Amino acid sequence: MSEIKVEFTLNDNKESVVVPAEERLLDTLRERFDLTGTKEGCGVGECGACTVILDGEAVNSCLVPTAQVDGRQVRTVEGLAEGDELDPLQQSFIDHQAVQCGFCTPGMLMSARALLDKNTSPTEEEIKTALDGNLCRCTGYKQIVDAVEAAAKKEERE
Amino acid sequence: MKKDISFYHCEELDAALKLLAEDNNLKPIAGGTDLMVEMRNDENFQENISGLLDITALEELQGITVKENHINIGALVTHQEIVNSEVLQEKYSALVAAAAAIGSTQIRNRGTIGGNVCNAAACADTLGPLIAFEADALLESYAGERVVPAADLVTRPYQTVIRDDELLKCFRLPLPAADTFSNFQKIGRRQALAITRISLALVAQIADGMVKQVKVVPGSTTPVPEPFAGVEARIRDRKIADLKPAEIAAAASEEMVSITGERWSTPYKKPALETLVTRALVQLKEVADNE
Amino acid sequence: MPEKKQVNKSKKRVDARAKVTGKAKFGADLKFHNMLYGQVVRTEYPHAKIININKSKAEEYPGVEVVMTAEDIPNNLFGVIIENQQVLAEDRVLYIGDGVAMLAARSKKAAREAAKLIEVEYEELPGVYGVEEARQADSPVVMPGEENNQVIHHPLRKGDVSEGLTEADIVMERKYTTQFVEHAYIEPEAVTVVPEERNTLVTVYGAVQNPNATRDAVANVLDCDLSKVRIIQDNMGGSFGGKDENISAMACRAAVMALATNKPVQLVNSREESIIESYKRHPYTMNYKIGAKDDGELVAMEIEAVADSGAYACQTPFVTWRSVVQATGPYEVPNVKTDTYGFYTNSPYTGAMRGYGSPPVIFAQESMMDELAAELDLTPAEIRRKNMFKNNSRTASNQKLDNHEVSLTEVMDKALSAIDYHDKYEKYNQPQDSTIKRGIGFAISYRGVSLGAEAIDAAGAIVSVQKDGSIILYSGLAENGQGLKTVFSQIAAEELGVSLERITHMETDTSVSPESGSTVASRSTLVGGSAVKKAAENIKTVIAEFVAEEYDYSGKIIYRDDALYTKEGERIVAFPELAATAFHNGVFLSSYGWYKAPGISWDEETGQGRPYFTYVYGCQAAEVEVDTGTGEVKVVNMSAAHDVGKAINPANVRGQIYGGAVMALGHALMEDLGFSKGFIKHTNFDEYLIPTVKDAPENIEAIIVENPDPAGPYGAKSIGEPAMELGGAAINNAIAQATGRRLRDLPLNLERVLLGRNLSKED
Repeated sequence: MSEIKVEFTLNDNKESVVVPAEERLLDTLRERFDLTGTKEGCGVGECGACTVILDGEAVNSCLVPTAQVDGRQVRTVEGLAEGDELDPLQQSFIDHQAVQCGFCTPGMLMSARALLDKNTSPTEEEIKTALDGNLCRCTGYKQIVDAVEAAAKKEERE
Repeated sequence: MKKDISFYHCEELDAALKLLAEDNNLKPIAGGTDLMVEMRNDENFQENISGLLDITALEELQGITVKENHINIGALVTHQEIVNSEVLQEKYSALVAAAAAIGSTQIRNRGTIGGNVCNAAACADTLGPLIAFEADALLESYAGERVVPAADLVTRPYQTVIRDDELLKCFRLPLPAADTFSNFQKIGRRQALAITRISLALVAQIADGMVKQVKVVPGSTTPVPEPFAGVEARIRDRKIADLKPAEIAAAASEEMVSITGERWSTPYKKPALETLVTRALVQLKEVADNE
Repeated sequence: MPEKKQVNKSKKRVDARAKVTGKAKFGADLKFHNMLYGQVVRTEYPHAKIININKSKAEEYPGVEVVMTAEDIPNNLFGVIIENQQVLAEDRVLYIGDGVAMLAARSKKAAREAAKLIEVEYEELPGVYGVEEARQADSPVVMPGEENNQVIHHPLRKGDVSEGLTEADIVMERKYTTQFVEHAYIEPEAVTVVPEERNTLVTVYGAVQNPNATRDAVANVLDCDLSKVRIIQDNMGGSFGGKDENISAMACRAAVMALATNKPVQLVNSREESIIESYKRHPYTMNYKIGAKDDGELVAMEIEAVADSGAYACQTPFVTWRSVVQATGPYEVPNVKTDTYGFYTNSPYTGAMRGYGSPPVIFAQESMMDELAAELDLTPAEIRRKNMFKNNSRTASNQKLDNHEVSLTEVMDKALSAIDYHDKYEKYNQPQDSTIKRGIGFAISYRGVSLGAEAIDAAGAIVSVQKDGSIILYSGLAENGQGLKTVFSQIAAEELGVSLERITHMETDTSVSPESGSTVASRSTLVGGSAVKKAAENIKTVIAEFVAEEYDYSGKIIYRDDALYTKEGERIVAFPELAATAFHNGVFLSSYGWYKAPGISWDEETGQGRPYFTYVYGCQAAEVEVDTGTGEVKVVNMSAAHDVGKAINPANVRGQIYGGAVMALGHALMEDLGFSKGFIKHTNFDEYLIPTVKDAPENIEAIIVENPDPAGPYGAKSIGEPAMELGGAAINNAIAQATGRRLRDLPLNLERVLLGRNLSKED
């Protein structure tokens, strides 16, 4: 039982991998699937750079054993855009200059996506709560919060 | 070379308990927010266990259920589920406040109340309110079930009375009397993702301008959260109008020092705890005044 | 002046799309065929002799291809200013981050596990932890071969300070300290070295802030020509001055192993490795003595600022030099005596971090201005207005500020009015009933733009027009996440009248990009931007000749909307068509642009001269809420007004201001590495706390003040560092108003705010 077969949905594709018990979802994504958009910043769930959406909830993929995602849905930053069409949050991050170095960006986007999937008209406080596990050292967060707010308004209108 | 460990995923409680009975080196895993960190940081973690037992699918450990005289909070209930629960918001607001103050959204989405308590850090935020609401922990093993008061669950930092063959199934909280006041406060070094520097859970049952029953449980002040009996005695069966917050707060900090002795952090924790106790009592008086 | 189409506009970042889709590759995202994973073994003690290293068990570990120690490194020393940093420690470790051995293996796991099998025998030595001890005559000497622990001393003498102090009605003395600070870029360091790729000896890919500095180090260590080392920068997950010497060390290590194995070697730090090994911001101990007249006029300042350099010299000589220029603040003081020092200790080495030598001295200096004002019964605004620089003022270095607008009044007025400072200041001076009290404070600064007298200040760029009219841009200065590629692309697009989409800004590649010094000192827009502008202008000169010949027009050409127009507005030719025609006529539409900054001067003995060719001015104000029962501080609002000369990209400028203000907030309130006799206790983000989204102020009003500077492209100067040097003092001043108690040591944590002193397990 030390090699575990895991079947899960990754960005809408059915996938199957065999992993050791201790393998982190973060490593599975980066190393087995080459989905390097998910970043590692701390390895202990404090920075949020590795945030992905697991069954609709934002989680730190560094704290999820891959063995636990059997039968579940995982969405990464690579799964946000549909072809060339960006997710409204991605476009809003571009429009609001919410990206500087870009290393926290994928995690920020996933936290924000999980929020907007559940709450189409979040308050500023709710946005900040949704992003409270994502550290950013460049932006001071202002343009990121603005971007999420604007994307929410846009999605609500549509 | 780190040794290989096994991974079991159980859908049935019985099967999980049987595995635990057979192999007491199996480590149950739920949200993993503490365990995965430990596994990364502790060189010997993997050496000391035979495998992981994924308990997330066990139905008996899930959900918040309201019974006639009590409410059950499954060990697998996440902090976010506690925050979202209307019934908990209404009756156990101090517990909800404690859960809301934990970590970050990602941590609250995965971390469970069972894990928070079983990990038994001195700064575990939910244990104080559970003790204050006089919760019992239901522990189950293949051999049977036992009930341990939340106050007796943790023996010292990172150590509980839960045996290796047991699972924490749920917490059973008595339904609070109609006029129950509860308050949770936390001081951290920043506004989110903050380890608790000091916290306070206070639950008081009010009737006819009197405090009938009270629990005062500071967190991160003593090795294990525990009710401050001396402080409670100064509040219980007293007229709320007569309560002197500052005096009681001073008694609380004295009680803390009597348990821990003078430590490097005491000069800070004394006045800070006094502030939290004072504020809880001032709020209690305001609530009582409005009724 | 016709309206600008590309600059002075909040253009979207040219690298944003790649970054929001996850396609942007960072150092740790690269993979190469046959790539090995490196692992460094670091010392167990901050100061020790290495008695023996046994690597045999590690060598036998399955998957391990090479295990190396200092003796395997051709040349073990490197350094930008003084070459005394070890790639791996030879016989002595000097701080807790020193590497003693390294290996490369076929898997990450094998590398990690094998590293544990390297046995190192140490003899622990007593260490020097703190500048107080380091500067004692009988202190042990940290750096082998030195006579004492002094790295540098910068004196500055103006007027006669003792006479000045005698004339003063009031003399005030205060001591301030600041802490070690971690850069805390969210991306830990990562490099990959590929051996003998194409025509080089090694190619280095990764999170390299200063590709040429890293190239110098690698070539030096490998003892080879610069041309044989090629550094290609990947996306940088934040740097803030922090991915320089530590990345160079990693690149050297990976290069040596790559050559030994003839395989690519990747080194990626964990967060703990990053915090333990990387250099920090210098902690400062500062003694200020200020003499003033009763009306607030400053007559003398005597300053001693002592910086902890840690185990290596690194950038200490230059960091402390910036301190000496800025120590007196933006005030006219006739008599000044300043001495800044750096000392070696067995603490982590300290180097460049956003702000360089200014944030500590501004913290001290601007805190002290408030203390002095209170003593003289003046308001903080009054004492500053009385003394601050105006046009033609003379600085402590006796430089006359006569070649640009000295805009302190403007930045101060704008920042203070945006946060409603005066009303709030009055209000918060009244007794406040609640235990949660508010306060408001501010700070002002002047800051020398670019390197100043530190080093040669020139930069280059290549603008290359392709035959379809698309443009390739190479810059010697590097994108570190701050938005350089966007700004440089805007400048090229503006000059050539093309849309931004036509331009592809390549990664900095040391084998192609002109060596331009380091991407530091907030110099890129001014120095590098001028080089891009120059390159584009050179091309326009060629185009003008070609247009005269081919299109029979020799008047002024207007470049706009992807076409060329006569000055009367008649369209000559579309830009792509021009490019194609020029190509087919054998006309070369590519050019290097080179810009050398205006001259400066400096007298090392007296600190007099013209240290910088121009300056920027800023003011930041902070409104805080202090819980006087718990010591918690919330920064509720901030305002920040910065004279940037001219904003090439206003949205980027605001981004720098927001980010700088919040970084300063972190330094001021929470950042603490938890030092204990050379050991670092806070080695990950659970304990080394930086601000979260909830710690950021509810509102930061970012105000861009524009007084175009003759030296900059379109008048542009700097913003990166100015934005973070003021917040600490502003927050400290606000807390002092709220609590009525002045604190003088950072960080302003729970204990200091509640008790007025720090608590530590050590005491």
